[in-house]
Amino acid sequence: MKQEVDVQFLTELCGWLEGTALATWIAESWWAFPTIESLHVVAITLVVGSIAVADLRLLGLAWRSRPVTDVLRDVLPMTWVAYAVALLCGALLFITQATKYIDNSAFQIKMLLMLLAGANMLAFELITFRSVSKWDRGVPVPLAGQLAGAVSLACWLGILVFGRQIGWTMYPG
Amino acid sequence: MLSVGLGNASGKCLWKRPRRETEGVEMHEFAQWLAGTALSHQIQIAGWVIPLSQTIHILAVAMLLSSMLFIDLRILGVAAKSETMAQLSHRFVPWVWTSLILLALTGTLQIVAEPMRTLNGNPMFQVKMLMLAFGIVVLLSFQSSLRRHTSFWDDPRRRTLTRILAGSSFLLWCAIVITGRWIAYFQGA
Repeated sequence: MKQEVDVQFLTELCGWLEGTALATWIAESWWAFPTIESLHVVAITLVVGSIAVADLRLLGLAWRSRPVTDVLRDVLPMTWVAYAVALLCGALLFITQATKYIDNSAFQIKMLLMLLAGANMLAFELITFRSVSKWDRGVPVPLAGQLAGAVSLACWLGILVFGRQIGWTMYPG
Repeated sequence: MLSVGLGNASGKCLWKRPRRETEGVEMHEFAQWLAGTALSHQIQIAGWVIPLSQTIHILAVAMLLSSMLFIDLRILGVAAKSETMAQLSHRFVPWVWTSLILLALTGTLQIVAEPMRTLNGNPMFQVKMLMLAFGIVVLLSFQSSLRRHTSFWDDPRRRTLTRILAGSSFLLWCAIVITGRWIAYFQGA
């Protein structure tokens, strides 16, 4: 019973979002949706590309000459700025057809992967990263760090793939 | 004909190209011929090829843009300051070329699979290819300049110029990606 109410609330929320002036304008304007979508794509590619550098460093596959903290200090600001843009654009795209997107399985999987990526990053920051001074340079990154890198890479690749899939399934042909 | 492009939010193609009598006839005929080949047909029938190609295409874009970002941020003096220009470029430029090769391969595959989407007078495709050619020239010039005038890129007196060059270069590659996305919206003819 509670689950039904939750779903109904979500559906109503999405319906309300679709009806907003902003959502309607983006949907009806000939250039707004394609432009926002293009920015979303550029931003996402920068998120994936920059995070890949960090993940490959954690996995010990790239840039071993530099301390982990150095690499992360360079990469993470890029990732966060790109992520902020991607998130904003994603939200603007979402509201135009919120009720359809929320029902789209590729969209659902993408959101789940983003949650997983976030949880993975949080766990890494709060737990594994605390001992970084011991493995910052010269020695291999501990297994937990390597795992965090691998999970992150897999999640973001998946987010990119399923994000593209949303396009094919929302607008067939 | 299979078309995996998108319209705008309501799914419609944005633009109908007015065709003059003699304009672009050869390209149009070539596109039609290509669309009729067994190869093009086989790719379309095997429904997984185009999605896989487009996915690899966008992964390569991620590789390209983030490599360019690292190089350009280094020129701006914002990232990887502990590395010299030469060191950093040496690390990332190979990734740029790798991604360009992947983009060329998947791009060609996608054109062969759906010739009418790109070759049939699609202005976005034409603009993208022009900018891409320019981008490659810029990339080659940069590599050459880095080899011959390495000190130029580290010279504090040249900072404004190198920053403008770095910023413009990055915007150019973003513009190429954006026009690439717009190909789908201009595929009607």
